Amino acid sequence: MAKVYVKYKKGILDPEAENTKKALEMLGYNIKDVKIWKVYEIKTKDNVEEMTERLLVNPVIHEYKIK
Amino acid sequence: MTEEISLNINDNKLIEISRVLGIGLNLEEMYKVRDYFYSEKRNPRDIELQAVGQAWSEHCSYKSSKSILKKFIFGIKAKQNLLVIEEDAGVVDFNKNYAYVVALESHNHPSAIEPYGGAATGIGGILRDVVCMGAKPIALVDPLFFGDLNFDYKKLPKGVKHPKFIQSGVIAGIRDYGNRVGVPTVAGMVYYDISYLTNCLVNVGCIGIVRKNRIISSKISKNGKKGDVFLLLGGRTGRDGIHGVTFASAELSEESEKEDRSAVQVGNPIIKEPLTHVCLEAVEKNLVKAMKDLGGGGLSCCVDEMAYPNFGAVVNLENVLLKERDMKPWETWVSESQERMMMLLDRKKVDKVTDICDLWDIEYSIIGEITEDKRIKVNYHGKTILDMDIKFLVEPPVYNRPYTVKNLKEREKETKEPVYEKTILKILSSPNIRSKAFVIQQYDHEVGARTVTKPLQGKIESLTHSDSVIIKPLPKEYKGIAIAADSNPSLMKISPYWGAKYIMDEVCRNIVSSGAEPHSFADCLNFGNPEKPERMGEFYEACKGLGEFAKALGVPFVSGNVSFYNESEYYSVIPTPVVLGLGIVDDIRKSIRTDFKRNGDLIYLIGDIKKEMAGSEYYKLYGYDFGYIPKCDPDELKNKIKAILETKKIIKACHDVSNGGLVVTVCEMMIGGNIGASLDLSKIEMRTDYKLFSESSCFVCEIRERDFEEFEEIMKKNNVKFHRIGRVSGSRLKIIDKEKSIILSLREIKEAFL
Amino acid sequence: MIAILRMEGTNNEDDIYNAFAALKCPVEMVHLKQFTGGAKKELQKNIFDYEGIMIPGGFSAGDYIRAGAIFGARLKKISKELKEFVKEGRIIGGICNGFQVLTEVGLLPGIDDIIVSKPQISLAVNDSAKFECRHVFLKHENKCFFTEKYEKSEIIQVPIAHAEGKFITSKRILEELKENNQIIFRYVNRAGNYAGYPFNPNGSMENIAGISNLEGNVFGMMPHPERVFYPYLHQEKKKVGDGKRFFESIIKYLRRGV
Repeated sequence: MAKVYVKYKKGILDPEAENTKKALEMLGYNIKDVKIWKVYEIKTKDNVEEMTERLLVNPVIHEYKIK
Repeated sequence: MTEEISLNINDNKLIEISRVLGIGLNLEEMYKVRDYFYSEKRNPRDIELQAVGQAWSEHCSYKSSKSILKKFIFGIKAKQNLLVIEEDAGVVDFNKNYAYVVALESHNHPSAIEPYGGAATGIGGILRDVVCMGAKPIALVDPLFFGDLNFDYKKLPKGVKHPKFIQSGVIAGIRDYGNRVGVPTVAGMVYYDISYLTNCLVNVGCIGIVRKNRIISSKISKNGKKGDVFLLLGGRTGRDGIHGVTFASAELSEESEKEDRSAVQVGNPIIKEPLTHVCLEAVEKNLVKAMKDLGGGGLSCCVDEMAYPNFGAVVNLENVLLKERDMKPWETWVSESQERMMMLLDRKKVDKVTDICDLWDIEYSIIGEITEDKRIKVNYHGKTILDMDIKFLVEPPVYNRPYTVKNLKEREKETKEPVYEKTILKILSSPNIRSKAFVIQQYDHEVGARTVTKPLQGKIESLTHSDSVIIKPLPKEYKGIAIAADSNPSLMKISPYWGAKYIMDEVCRNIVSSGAEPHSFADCLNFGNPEKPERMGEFYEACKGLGEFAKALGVPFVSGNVSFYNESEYYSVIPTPVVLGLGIVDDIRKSIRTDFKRNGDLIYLIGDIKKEMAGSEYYKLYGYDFGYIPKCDPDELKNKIKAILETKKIIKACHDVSNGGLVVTVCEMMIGGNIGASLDLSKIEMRTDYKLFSESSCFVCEIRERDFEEFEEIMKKNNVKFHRIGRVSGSRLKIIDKEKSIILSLREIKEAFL
Repeated sequence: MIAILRMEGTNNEDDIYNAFAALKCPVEMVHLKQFTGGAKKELQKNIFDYEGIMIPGGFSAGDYIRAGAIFGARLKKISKELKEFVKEGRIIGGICNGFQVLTEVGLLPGIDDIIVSKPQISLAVNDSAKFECRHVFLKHENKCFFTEKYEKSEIIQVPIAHAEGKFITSKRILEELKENNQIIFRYVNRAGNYAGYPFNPNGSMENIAGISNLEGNVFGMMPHPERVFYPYLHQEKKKVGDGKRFFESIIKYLRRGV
């Protein structure tokens, strides 16, 4: 099984992460930063890197790593 | 597989069984079940007891409310009624070839436990109620009630979620589901009060349009014949939503959070959207004999209610497509998994329907057929596991619960005049008054290209609230439907009877403000525990108020829903009847909006403004719990309706007076028009604050100077009181009352409200 | 004949259909499977039977993974045919979710090639992180075959309704779009100036709301012109629907040379 981790590239504003940071701060926590990763767990024998490039990420805004 | 259960046991054990099985039946009801199986000369199986539990739940059977509803709400005759009350949605005449369909429901208990899922599946359910009539859904409505947003986290009772969390979950659920299915969410309301802290109210409504010769009933009529098959289509059946209706028929407790999670269904709008396509295409091609959606009670209630009273049914349960393994038959039979529809088809037409399903990738299976005996039989791999008389299930005991009515004691007290500017701004910025754009703009209210009069009106940079939304259902016709949903918890708290009448009056005012004529109503009645006489009394009085008013107007209730048990050990909700009003406008191009249009135009107050301050935002702000409440008169309303509709073509803007009073109405009109107003109230004999903040049944209209004579003439002719109170002008609000002068800039007003 | 392409979750197809029908242009609904395979044999269709394809708004495949990603990936099955289709001067237009699909399948920006294998543009989550439904002001920057009937620099009012509409691309592509006059619409305020939120409702780079390919026969925009086809659908009172000329332009192009 492969795990594909996808997140926004540096420099791309992630509004969901921003809002998560704000919401935690509103609950009284001290937050330095929040980054959100999307993880796809894929059970397959086929080429996961190819799948990732073809569908799971948009290279304009995403970077990824496969474990 | 199934378990046989003996009911030949003592009272305590009977109650125990009801509790353990989660079927929510009381002792009396268990006796009746026992008697039934004595007459059948055998012991019941678990699946049969589950079936009774579902069918006899408050949510499915209306056992506590039916007699009162019959007395007051049902049976208001009108020429536009086509198929009302009996079905999942009301069907009302629209034009020569078309009818519109309306349904309104609650999804309160699931939303309190899982706000996102609960609200989303509420939308899913109400859409299905409309689609199963053969109608295309064209608008959604969401009246919502939450606890105080500023409630102290530390004081939150165990197991209860904070109103902020619930609000954002509910709005997101409605948004994500409604937007995905492509039906615009156009109207609703959001209201905050401490009584909703442990029990939020999530009511959802849907309006649809259908060709008259394509209306499908959910009941199998005489055109059904032996051998017709049940086709179950859409999502698969799983364990989500089991005991949804028994859960909705009991008070929430600390344990609800953990125990009742499975009672919250999981929605999937991406199945619903093509499922809707399939159903409407099948109806269009005349392939469907009867159709019903699967909601409360799942397969159990659906099949029973479709067959009754003309037929019986036999179901082969192993044919139901499952999404979970090892499901016990009773689980399959009562599961409330979402996105499922049931069609009754002529055997010969099945292939045509399944072809449509295949194109849209919708799963289906034939699960049974109708029979001529009036029984429901469920087989599982050849063995009969349920065999009961349908009448016993579908006609449970009806209760006339004891009720007590609280007498209304009104007394007035003297108060000091406030600092006006500060008070006006405070009211404008209060949670129940200020702009709901933050909710409205998260809903796609434009999809369908038929939203003419929108939920937010005025200048793009400076939008204000509308009174009602007008949609244009048919591409080739200018006829439109106006939609407004209202409740008034403040007044309901003081007097359920007069509060209910005010709500009716307000819904009609909202419809008329847009230039439409009230045509039909749907109700969703949210109340506490009916086993408590005071709550039952509130229910009785509210229904009386709603029904009397509607009858006097000659406008029918065509559909409705009752939600009881909205309380916990900490709070019980204020009796909250929500009324969804629909109006008809002959030409949508001639509708009226709420924003001020032009410098120099005259401003009129229509109606009789009285010192009726109890329950008003103003009195609440200062904690005044005395005063008189508005007592709306349907005959006066009829005159106002007639007068406004007669002067429609010369009214440039119209907005009704309600929460916050005249001054809030004028401010909202100013914001939309991005323009000021200059008022002189000296001629109205009343203290300034009463004039500004009274919530009497009134309207504010904008008239061009050259039209005022015609306007006043028509008001007089219809016996409607009016006062010319000022002009649209400048960029601030200036109010003069004898020697008093109140000034607020447009900027300050916008800052408070937006 | 125009094909309106749809799949599960597409929900704006009726509005576009009605717009073309109102102008008496032959138009037909086609399910994606009827082009790419997977539908019954007698339902199969050939894209070359159509002069143009419109991809409407909605939530195709629930916007799962990314808005337009799944629709775009499924369309890739007929990449060769699509390339030929565009080369022949036929048109492909995408509105809202349709725009997202065109960037994901690689038919826009149409600079390096008619159809590229990896997306070069992203229509990402709005800066406000919320779904935004409101009317906006658009400035018509440059003409293309879809906007022939609008004046240059004209300001129109059109509604948007999306959660993922923020236009993002690389510096290089942005420069090319500007050089080649491929930016067709930008978000502006009432006076016509480039302004921030809420006039730019999603934070798009350079306020870009709609672009075309080099030739102008492939086009995508986030706002919905079909929703203001008629004047009575506007937020503010208007004599003519601003969206009507969009469809009139398309029809004008289809009838060229006739």
